[in-house]
Amino acid sequence: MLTIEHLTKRYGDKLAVDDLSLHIAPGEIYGFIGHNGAGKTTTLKAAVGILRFDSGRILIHGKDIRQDPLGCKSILAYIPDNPDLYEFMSGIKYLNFIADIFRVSAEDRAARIRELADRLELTADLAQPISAYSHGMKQKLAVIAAWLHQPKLILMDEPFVGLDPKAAHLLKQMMREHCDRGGAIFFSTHVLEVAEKLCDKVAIIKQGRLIRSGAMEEVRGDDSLEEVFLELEGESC
Amino acid sequence: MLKVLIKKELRQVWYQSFLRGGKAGRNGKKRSGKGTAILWIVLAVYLLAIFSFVAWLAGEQFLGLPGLGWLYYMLLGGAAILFGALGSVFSTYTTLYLAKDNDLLLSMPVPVKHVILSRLSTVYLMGLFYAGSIALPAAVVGLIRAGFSLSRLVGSLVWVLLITLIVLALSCLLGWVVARISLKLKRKSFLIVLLSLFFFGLYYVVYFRMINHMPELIESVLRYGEGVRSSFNPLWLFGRTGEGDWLAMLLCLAALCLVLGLIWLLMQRSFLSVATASADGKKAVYREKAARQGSVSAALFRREWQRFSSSAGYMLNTGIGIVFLLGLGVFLLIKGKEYLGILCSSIPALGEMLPVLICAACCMMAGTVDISAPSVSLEGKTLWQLRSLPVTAWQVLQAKLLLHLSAAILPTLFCVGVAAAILQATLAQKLLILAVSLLFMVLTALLGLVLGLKMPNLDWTNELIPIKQSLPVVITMLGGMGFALLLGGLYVWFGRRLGVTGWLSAAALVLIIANAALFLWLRSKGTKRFEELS
Repeated sequence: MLTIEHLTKRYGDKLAVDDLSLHIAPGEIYGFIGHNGAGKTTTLKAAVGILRFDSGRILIHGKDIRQDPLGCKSILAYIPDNPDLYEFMSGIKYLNFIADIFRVSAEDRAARIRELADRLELTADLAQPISAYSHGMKQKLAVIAAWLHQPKLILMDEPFVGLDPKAAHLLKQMMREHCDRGGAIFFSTHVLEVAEKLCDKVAIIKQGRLIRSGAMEEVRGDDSLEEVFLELEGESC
Repeated sequence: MLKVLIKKELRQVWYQSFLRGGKAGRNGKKRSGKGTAILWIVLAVYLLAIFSFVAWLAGEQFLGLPGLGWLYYMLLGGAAILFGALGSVFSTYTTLYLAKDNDLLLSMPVPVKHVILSRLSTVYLMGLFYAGSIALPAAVVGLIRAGFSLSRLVGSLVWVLLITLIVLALSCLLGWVVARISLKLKRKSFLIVLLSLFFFGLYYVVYFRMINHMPELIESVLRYGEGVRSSFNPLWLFGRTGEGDWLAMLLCLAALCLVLGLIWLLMQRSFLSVATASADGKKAVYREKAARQGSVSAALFRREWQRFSSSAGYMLNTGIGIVFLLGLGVFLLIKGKEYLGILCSSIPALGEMLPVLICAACCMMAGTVDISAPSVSLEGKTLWQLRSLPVTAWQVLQAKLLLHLSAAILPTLFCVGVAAAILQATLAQKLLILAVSLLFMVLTALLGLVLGLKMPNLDWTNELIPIKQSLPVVITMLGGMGFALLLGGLYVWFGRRLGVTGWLSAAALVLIIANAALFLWLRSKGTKRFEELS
């Protein structure tokens, strides 16, 4: 579903991502962990087509993000670490905007908005302007918008930040259901316990370089993910 | 503490106006901001030159006659306040109460009054920039023409200070009124627009009524001398400060301090409740409605419209030209024939070039609609959405252009249509006036977008920074004035050889070429630039 080959991205003299390669198959929840500034967000943004990269190749469902950006973007959804949504819209107007862009039919969007908003308990607030939303509510709206057009691939940057425990639990369920239906999820997180329980595969990045990746059991071995992560961080130091 | 906060505000203005967030450019090097600073200086010099010329003409009229010096300072002071208020009055509410870092500052051990004062420093600066561009050359011209003395020098400085403080007082007062109203109302952006236009219109009417009565006033002053002062006392005192009257300076400063003190009390008492209020008092109830599926282009256009109509600052600062166009159209409809008749009979040479001058005036008005200029910067931190959605950069830019054109086309057509209808000109000339004005409106939209892409600022904390303090907006607006001056001025110099029809045809041709060039740039390099924004 998502193939990243030899991705390299520089910001001036700083090497943000260095020759990173990853493959995420349909049905997989892939966790991406690393310290602050390791290159997680840069990788995610490059995969979504927001950020131009210097070299390498990114394929989404077999399509090259550089050659067919629209084709790629029409089958993916992205939730950034800080959901800066259009504060001049109400929740429902925002969802209708997203549905129009992804050409979701009137009947489908009504049913999906109803189902997703009810599930995340946001229905009562949909008429409110987004400017009146709390961080958690914006995060929930971003989740609904991401799921609304039934993308094949969902990329998320720290998706659990700001969510209350119930919403976080629901999101984990939704992620699993999405992958069970053949979709794929690639997300970054600092919450290693969540990654350990939720992810099928995990990649650890440090200073732009991928230092370990693979199935959760392989990466973790007999230790906890936290121990492995801290050990790898120490080794690299 | 206050010093630190003011420094932060000024640094923010400096970074966001000159360095556009100090972000690294495409080559990874930090922008020095020198180029932008030079452009700002050029613009300031441009404004100072225009108003120095105006002040010189006014000085010739009033400063030569005994007893009329105060009229010079009163009239130009009034114009400076009008210009300053136009520049800063619409921004106070947003700057004071809607700044994104209000919560952060209020959570720190910072006295509220220091937060307000530091915010007011930028409002004051904005007023100083606009009002000062008239007041400073007027003061210098006053000193040159009326003669230099210590009292005149101090008087001129106090006069400039008074003007900037009056602008600040007006801005604060309107900001406070808007803040009080916005706490209770739902559709506040439109109401703020109406209220601001009402205040602005009121000032405009009072000021121009005063100018209309000027001949009678001058006559009274010349006939009755000092006696006429009593009926115009506050204005006379204000005018006298510029002439270096110590008592007038003292009285005006004392009165203004009193007014500012009262406004300060009002603001201080309500600041916390307004700045920390949630967006709307009453919660809107959601009722599921059957939605219709729209096209991608329609969705992007709707998004632009919602952005525009949700922000009073955006509407007022970039769409005020719509009001000007409608106002000019109505004025021409009611008084146009009469005024044009008087003009033509008193200056017969004007009759021949009237179509060109009318066309230039319509272009100048159309040039004050600058909706497209800040539209790229206004994406701000939400840019990731457009970049992650399956839409092309061209579709996004088209929606921005379309909003500008759809907002400006009807008022332009109305204004130009009325002008063409009342004008005694050939059909070809009338059609050319219409074509040039419409082509210029398109040019403004394209130029604004091009400049917005070339000089984007996505890191603002207050939306008025890209709307008001950005070069794309200022250049587009002043470019409109410049084009109108060129269109009229060059015709008088050498365009006459071509005749009205030839001159307007040449202008239309130049505009078509310029529009085509800008359009092609947008289509190719512009879309690439948009894709590279981050």
